[in-house]
Amino acid sequence: MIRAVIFDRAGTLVRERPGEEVLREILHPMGYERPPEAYKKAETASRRRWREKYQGLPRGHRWSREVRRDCLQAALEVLALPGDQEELLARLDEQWDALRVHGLYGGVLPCLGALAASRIPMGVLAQTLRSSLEVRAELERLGVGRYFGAILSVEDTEWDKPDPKLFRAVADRLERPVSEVLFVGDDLAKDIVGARSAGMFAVLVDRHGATTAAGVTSVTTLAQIPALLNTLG
Amino acid sequence: MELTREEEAVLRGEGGPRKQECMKILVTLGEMYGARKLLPIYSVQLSGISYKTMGSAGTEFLEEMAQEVKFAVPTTINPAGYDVGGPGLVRTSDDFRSKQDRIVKALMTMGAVPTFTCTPYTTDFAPPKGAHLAWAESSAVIYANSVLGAYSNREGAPSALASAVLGKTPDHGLHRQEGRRAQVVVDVDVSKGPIRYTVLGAYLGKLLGRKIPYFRGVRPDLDGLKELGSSMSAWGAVPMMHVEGVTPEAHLQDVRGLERIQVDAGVVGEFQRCLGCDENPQLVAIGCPHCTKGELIQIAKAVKQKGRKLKPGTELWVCSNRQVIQETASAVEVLRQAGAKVIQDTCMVVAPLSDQFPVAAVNSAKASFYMNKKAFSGQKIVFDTTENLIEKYL
Repeated sequence: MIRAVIFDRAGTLVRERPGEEVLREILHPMGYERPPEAYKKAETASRRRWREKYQGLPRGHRWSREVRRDCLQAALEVLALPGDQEELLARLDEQWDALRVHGLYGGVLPCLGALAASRIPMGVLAQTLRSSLEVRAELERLGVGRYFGAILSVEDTEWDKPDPKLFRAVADRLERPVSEVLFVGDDLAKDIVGARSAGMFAVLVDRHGATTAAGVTSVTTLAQIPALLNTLG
Repeated sequence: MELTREEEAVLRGEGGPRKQECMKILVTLGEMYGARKLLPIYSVQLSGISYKTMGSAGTEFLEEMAQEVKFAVPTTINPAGYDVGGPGLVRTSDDFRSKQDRIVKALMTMGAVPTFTCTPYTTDFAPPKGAHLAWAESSAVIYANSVLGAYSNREGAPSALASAVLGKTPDHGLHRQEGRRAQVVVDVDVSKGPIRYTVLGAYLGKLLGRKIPYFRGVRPDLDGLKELGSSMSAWGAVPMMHVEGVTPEAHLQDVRGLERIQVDAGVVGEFQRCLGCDENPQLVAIGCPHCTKGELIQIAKAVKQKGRKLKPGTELWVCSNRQVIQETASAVEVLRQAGAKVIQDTCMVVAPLSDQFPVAAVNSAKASFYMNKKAFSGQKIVFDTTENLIEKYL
């Protein structure tokens, strides 16, 4: 019998934009135009700087304001735009995190509404560099924070998905045994393997029907979750 | 890019419009990835030559190419959509056969070598260490880079074809030492139980994407490396791997400070359970990638030990290439006597089988990836070890 549902964040609840799109979205209104491959290269440089300089920092410090600014600086160096570099960096820094999130996927609101109406406790397990509090603030901004009794970011732990300890930690916060929890995620190797290793039921969100895992239950939209829950008992 | 005078002339169209088109493809790619020059190559491996993958537009394009150009270097080819040079063990429609035959004819006209295999490294066309290649078959690319010490990017169909015509490839990515460096350390803990390389590869392919891993804690043999690499390249886009104490460039890697992933039998076992369903297959298919001599002999041994024939209602396919089949004649005979079909020139992935065999059992995570994919075959997959498949269905 399923008595609680835990969701993955990005790719499941929240639609994230690729970094190159975000760069363009910020810079284009400022009058800068570059070909798509230039933004892609800039985004790659930004990621590379993070990997090389900051990946090894203690958790909780890996995406501070200073880190973000330095990584965005790497992107600007590749783009080599004319103008006041400090102002460009300030603009990117100011808007980056907010524009990275493109909203909720279709099907999320009906799913959360139906589960809440059935008094099913819900949680979120996020693989992100931001803290659990920041994830909660983001979900509040998106208008769905109230649905979640527990929100955990891996950045506040010592583990990464698919470590089963993460999945058990969220179930504990919802005060439900793992055998009564359904996990919903879009990543076969991290979400489904992790949840099943922890002893949960797991459903893969496969919006494009590209599933290549015959042994996994999948849905194409979160709107299918409430009905699926009935079939799981 | 700095082109030679000869290359410049081809780019201007002096070698004809087809060669010019090919040069434009290579130069565009080279400039996109920061190559400074074109490199001469030892060989090309073309993938996607089954009509199932190529379709009519691709076939017509190939036929037009064949009227004007020849391949400049040895060009081996992937499996076709049916056993084109075999005894006709694979049932397909006449229409499909005639379309497949047009593709084969065009390729032969241009000078392709009729290997019809995804494992060209098990044939006389295996490249030497240090050879530059333009191979498109992902499982062969990772094997060539990691095990043979050859150099190849994962080419797409158009770039591999262009390279075959010109005998060149842009000098970037895996052709350069900096493009071959390990990017993540994978520590495999086998203390909690055995780990199947095909499943480990699939799991890591999902996690790694394009990153080059450096493995510690495992020592796969050549067939194990083939399994590990082919799954990683199908489920991800991993072009090369280093295995400590095993692969030829592992000792050159500095892995200090790299991202680290730990894997054990628990997560890999859970991933394996994701791969298959529990239904009755009409087809049991082994040999993705095509069986090596060692694998074929092992399967024959297991079948011989079992001492029984195939259960009615199920077909057993063992897929390999012409050369391996010829060189393992007695093992092949054992399999045939047991009722198995030893299939050459095609395989369970690229032959159009979903109508005949809606449920198939496989031992390969690479096969599972493609056969289960809705847009490709959409078959239901039973996933198990070779030994268990033989135990259950013989």
